[in-house]
Amino acid sequence: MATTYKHLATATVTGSTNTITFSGIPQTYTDLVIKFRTRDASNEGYRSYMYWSPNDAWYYHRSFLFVVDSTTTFATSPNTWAYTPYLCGLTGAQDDTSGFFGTGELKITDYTSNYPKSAIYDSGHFSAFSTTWAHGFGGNQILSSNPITSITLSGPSNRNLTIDSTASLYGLKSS
Amino acid sequence: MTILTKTEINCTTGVVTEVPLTPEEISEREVSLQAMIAREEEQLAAAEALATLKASAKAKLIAGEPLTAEEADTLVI
Repeated sequence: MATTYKHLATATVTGSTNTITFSGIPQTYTDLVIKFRTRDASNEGYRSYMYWSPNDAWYYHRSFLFVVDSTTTFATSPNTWAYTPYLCGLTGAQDDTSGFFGTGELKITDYTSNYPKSAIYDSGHFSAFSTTWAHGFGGNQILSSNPITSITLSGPSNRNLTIDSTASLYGLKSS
Repeated sequence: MTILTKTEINCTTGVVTEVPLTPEEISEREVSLQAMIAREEEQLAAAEALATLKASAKAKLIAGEPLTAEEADTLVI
């Protein structure tokens, strides 16, 4: 059975914004996918991490593997952690060469259920400014008991996402 | 000073709103992200410590020296 993607919304940053929230998410799909392409307000020509939060942010487990500038960083959570925004990838910097963004995809499974939900992501970034690259993937197991009705994407806490950053939300279901 | 704003797009209505973050929201974001960073650094330090123990265990095995319990733990599956 084929899986079809239904485009639900796209947010395009025209100036700058700290967070992008998709609210009013229809509860008629099996999974959600967010594709993002972002730069933040760093003037270092460099990269930072992207985060996401659901409306029902709760305790979680997580694992990830990143290769940043040829250095491998990996981690797993042996214990359940109290909520903080969940890591979901990499973002570029506003003063990097035009057209260079951090890109990534985040997939959230069974977002309408009343049971724990899992999310996986895959993201990469190349900085033309510093000619360095990074790539990473990972996942979260979120111990929430409520459906996800809104999702917020953000960069580093003290920086806005800058012009031409985009994020699109898709709903998945079997056709 | 940078003004931090938030953008919300309602997937049902298509309405887009953009408003400044409140001081409370800015503070919450800072605290939660700093907590995450601290955890990542803690895990990275633990991974580095494990790698050091493994290297020490390997060197001792090659040299025929006795391992500590911690070093032996890194070799037992």
